[in-house]
Amino acid sequence: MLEQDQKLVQEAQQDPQQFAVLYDKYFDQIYRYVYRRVSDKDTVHDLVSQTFYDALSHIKSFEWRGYPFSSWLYKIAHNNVLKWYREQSKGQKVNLDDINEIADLTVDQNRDAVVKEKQAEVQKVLDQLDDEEREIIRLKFFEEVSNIEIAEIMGLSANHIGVKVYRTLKKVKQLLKS
Amino acid sequence: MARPTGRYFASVISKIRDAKKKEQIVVDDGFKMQLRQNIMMKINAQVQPPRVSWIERLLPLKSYLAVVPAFALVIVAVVGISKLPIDFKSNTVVPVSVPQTKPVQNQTANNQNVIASNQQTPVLNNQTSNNAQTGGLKTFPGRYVLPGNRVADVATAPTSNSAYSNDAVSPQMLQANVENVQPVQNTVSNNPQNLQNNPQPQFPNVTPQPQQNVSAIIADNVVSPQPQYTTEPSAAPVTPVAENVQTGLQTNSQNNETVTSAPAPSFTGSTPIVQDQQVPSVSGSSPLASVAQTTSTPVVQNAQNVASAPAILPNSTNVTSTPTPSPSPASVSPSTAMTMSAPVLVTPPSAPAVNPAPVVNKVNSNEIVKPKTTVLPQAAKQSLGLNDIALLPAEHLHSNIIYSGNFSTDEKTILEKNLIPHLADGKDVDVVHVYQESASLITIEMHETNGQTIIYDYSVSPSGELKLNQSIVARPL
Repeated sequence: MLEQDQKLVQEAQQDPQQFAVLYDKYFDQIYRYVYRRVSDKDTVHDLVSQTFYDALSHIKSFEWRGYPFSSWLYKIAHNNVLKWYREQSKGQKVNLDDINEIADLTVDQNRDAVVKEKQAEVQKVLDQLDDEEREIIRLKFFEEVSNIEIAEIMGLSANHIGVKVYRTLKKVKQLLKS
Repeated sequence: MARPTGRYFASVISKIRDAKKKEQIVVDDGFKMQLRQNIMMKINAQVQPPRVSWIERLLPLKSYLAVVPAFALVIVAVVGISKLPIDFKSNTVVPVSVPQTKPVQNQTANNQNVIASNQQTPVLNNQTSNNAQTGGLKTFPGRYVLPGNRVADVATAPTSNSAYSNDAVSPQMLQANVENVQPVQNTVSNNPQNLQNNPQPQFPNVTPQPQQNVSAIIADNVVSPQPQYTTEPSAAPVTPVAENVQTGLQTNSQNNETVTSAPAPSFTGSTPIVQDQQVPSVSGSSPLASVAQTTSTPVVQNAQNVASAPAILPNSTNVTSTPTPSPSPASVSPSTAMTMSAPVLVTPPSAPAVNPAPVVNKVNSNEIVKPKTTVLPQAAKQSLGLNDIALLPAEHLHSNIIYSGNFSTDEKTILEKNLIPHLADGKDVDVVHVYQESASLITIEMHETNGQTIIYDYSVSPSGELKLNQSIVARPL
């Protein structure tokens, strides 16, 4: 996996035309990631477009550190989302309701009522978390990114991410019990 | 994929994952394709080759361009070298600064100092070294290294005296001759009364001074400074009779009223040897007798009582000679007679000794025979050992006689008219150097054309007598 990413990155650095391969491979992940954080679809398109343009313009300066190429893309998307939130003055919290609204557009209309209940329960809990805790939980369990990669994306240390994950889960557990 | 494994959060994690699975995010493929096209368009726009300037086109050729200045430097260097005034086909002549000629007087003075200090080291003296350093050209006594012909060449140049120092002869040059060279001393006491009118061949400028070690200027390991005298009984004593002792004298034997035991030159069995046979030899048993028959020109004026080898003794009435040779120069009787020991060639040890026998020779003092070819009085001539040698004019020499020292005209006259011709007789001499080593020491160097140099060391007694201490034959290496 990593070796393949490294090879693709090297090819894209030598031939920008090869960047299309990376685009096709990681577009959906970045799209969902941004989609979960931004409720507006146009905003999602803008942030996703900006993320891949930034990646294309800086692909030659990318240094392989042993992390998946997706981590670099997540980091760019994360910075763009944060930047967008800063531009929106106080920032907008991406809540599960917005996500559900967006998801409702694509999901089958015949969804199970139980699932909706469970989603609503977890979403409510996540809404009670702060931005950093929610970002960590989404990257950790939705994007399935390792602590090291989360640390790379968020600019924190891996140990700090581990502690944050532990405390956030403990907090979510208490919220779920209540 | 990092996933929490703790059982404590298992329920929480499961709920979150269930929520993810229930989450259905539909990716807008239209947006995806459109964005892809936009990205590819941008990529294509970036990939288009930019306009290449002429400098960039020359960059691949930079390796070749780097050769251009290097080649230019080589060309410049070659042109520069070719313009240098150097002809590689001919020998390069390096100009050598010729040291300035040092006056002879100064050199002599320095040599005197050297002798006075009894410095016996036969090496380059300080003067020569100083000349070499200051003049930029290293000079050293030609006697040391130069062959005889070269020495003669240098010696002919009067201004190149700096190349000649009054040092000892090179030990290498002399080593071969050590065994054969020994001084001979002829001590003659003369009756001055009988020779009142005879000019005194004395050096008026000589101040009384004790005999110095003559060998100070000659390597002490080469020749013994003291003349060696052997008193062994002569096997074949030769008694020069009056007739035989008339060497060069035109005397009237009938008027020889006083018969004295005038001392003949005492020759011992171990007479010194000069290896080269060119020196007039007095060999064997009759050194005087053998030559007495061949000489006819010397004259003694007003000689009344002339012994076989008369000398000038102004204050003595009777000339008596002791047959015993003087063991050392110091034992010479303090007379005013000129005493000289001439170099003698003697065949090696087998040569019979010449015992000084009393010579009875009556000389009529009233009969004065003027000399024909010499101005040296007979007594002086005999004292110089010139009895058997026809005095030759100075013109006999091929080149000049170079004096190093304060020689008076009279002294030069004596030397040039008598002693030097005597020494140069039979030799092909190029140049003669006369060094006044000190007030009591004179060194005469006879540079022959064959490269051989004979060095005579004469000591001058307080009364002006010349006495040969030793002679050394220095042959070219």
